[in-house]
Amino acid sequence: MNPKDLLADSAEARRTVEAFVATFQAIRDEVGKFIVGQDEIVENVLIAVIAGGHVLLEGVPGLGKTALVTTLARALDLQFGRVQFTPDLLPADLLGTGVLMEVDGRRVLEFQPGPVFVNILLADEINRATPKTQSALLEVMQEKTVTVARRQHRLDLPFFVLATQNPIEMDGTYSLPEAQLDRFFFKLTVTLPDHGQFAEILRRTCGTTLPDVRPVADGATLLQMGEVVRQVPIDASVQDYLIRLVRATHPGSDDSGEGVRRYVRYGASPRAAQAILTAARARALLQGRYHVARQDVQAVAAPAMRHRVILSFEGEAEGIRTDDLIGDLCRTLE
Amino acid sequence: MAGHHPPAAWVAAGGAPGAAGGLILAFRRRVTHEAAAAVADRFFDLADGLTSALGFERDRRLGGIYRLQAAHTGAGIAAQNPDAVRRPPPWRVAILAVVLLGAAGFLGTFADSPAVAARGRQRQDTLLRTETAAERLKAAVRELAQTLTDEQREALDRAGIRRMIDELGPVEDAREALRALAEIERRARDLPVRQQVANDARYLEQAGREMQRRRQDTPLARALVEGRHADAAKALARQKLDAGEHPESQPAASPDALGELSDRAGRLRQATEGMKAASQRLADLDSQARELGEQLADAAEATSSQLAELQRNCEGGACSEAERARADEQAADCDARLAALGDAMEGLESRSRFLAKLDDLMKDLNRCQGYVAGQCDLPEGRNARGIGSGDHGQTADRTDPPDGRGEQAQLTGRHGSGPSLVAVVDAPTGEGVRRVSSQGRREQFRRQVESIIRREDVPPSLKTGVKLYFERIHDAAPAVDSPSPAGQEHP
Repeated sequence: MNPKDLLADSAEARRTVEAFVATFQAIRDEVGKFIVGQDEIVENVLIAVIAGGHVLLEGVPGLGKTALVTTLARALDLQFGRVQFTPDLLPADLLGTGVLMEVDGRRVLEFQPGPVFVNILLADEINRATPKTQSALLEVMQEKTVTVARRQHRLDLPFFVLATQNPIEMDGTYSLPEAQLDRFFFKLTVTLPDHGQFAEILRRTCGTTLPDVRPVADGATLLQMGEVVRQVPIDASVQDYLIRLVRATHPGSDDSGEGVRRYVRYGASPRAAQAILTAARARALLQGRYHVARQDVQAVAAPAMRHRVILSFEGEAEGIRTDDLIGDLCRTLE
Repeated sequence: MAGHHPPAAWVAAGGAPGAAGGLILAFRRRVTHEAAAAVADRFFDLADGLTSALGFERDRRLGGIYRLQAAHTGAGIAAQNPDAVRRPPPWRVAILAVVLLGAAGFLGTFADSPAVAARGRQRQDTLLRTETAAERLKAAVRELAQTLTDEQREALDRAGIRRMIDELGPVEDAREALRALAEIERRARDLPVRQQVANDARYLEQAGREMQRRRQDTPLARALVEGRHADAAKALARQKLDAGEHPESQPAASPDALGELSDRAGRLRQATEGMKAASQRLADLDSQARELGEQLADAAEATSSQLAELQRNCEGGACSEAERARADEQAADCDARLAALGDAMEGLESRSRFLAKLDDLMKDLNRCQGYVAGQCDLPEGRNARGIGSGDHGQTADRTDPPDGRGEQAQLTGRHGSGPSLVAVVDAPTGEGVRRVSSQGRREQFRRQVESIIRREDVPPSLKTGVKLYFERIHDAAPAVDSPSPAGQEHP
């Protein structure tokens, strides 16, 4: 896989794209050994990881959110860390702290890295930590650095935060602030498996042996895949559609519909447009195309914007779903 | 707009921009490369492949993955049948245009709804009626002005009556016209001269009655009681002492002349005693005639006393020339006051005639109000005792009491049992009240009620209820229509 030749040589480009798709499919197959169903969730998580983005997984307990992340870590041969977020978790517990050490007879303050210094960080039940601890992740997620005692520590790449949260048990939780929500590339909603998938889950997990998940890619491969994705071309008309779609989520926009004007308090940010474009590029390659199409944009619009579109009080009172609003916009702006 | 017939010009005015807009739309939607590519993408399900390839080529992005994209798209297109591409004509636009044209044509076949047509007819009728009424009133006030003195015309102009009538014209709103007419009527009724005439007439009548009470049933007293003020002025003039005009009758001329003059002065004093009594009885009355009458009575009394004393002195041989001269002056002063009162009586007669003409104008106003309200028609011909001011002085019986000063008719009846006999039309000042004759008949009243209900925007259900209410209360009260007791007049 040589991302640099993607624009120069068409034959090399073809080989690179084929390698990209093959690697992606291999990772998906490996994850699929343990995770039953949830194909769209798995694909979107992989797209986000390739794009270098963080994912917020929302779903009731027991749907395999944590299992998905641990399986993905095993398939990618990356350093994996898990932090169970609780109300008494402190930023230092997460980022690391300075510890007095005796070196050559002198006492020095040495930085002891926290659990974030991994490639894949599972932030389990992230909304149970206090806003102070949640905010400690802002720099890590955006800059991929940790600053402690005025010293900045760079994390190894790739670095992803895969966070989970439970939408039901709201007692003792702290809703993520909009600024932190905006850091997540995708927000994916994990749903209940159907009857057949239930049976398959039972078969795979309640037997005598567990599926053997092996690493099929490493961090360098993921970074290269990200480079490939960023070179997938997009026509001006499709990009214009993407921009209008994001702008239409704002109540003051000319393209916003009646639903947005009535039920939305604040729309998606330019960071959402970046996420949609990158994810649409990856999806285009996975669909066997060499350009981004409107349908790629539409496919990733909801996971990229559902947590960035903030409903008004009236919208929440009416039980409006942001996915419905985004779906309407996709159709009307096409 | 509901129920209105759309004029052909409106349909044409709507059609022209529509046709122009259609042409512009067709021009804007003409097929371009990008549009054709978009149609092909949708038709062959190419997922924006052709559009993207076109865009990349236009942007000169041709190597590497772009060539791959073009080849991939080309392969996708090669498998398609280009003849299968059909870009349907803008059927929806065409159908919409046809539907709109059809709707416009269909609407064009409609006439105005009965309600709209009725409103239109009513507006036309109101315009016609208000215009006719305005013309008639203008003619009437012009003729009236020709018969008036400068002072009377000034009184009319001071009240703004002529100006308001000149400003009348055709209006669509009957209520507006009625308000204007009611305001004119109010001003005509409230002219200050009317009160002055009434006060003077009241005093003079009282003076005449006082004279008769003193057994002085002279032509002067009768004329005063009957309100014939010109005759009264003549009768009064006959009692002039004429001391200055006839030297032979001056007190200095001879004892006989002095005696005769003293006798005339005594008769004048007796005659004016009634005036003085009336003046005392009506002490608070604001009347010029009352002041003149009182002054005349005082002068007559003084003159009579002085002449009697002079006569006694002369008979005793002790009258001086100076006393005679003073008696002459006194007699002349008395004559002057008598002449002033006579002039006031003649002026009162003139003002009464003016008021009579004004009353004719008010009758015209009343008829015009009824005509504008659709309750009656105007009589044909301007002097068919309707519109137009006939010469009251020539047609009126001078023995009749002047209008507005006749005996008051007192109507009896059960309070509250009869129809309301006063129709109130608010003037802009809020003071205008139009009083309809108390001899109103039920049919007329019913027409008025129905007219008001029809004019106002009353819901049909309420309208029917109101109508039934009025019909029932009046049908249930036959005494209202019977001539007695409500129709009886008692002096």
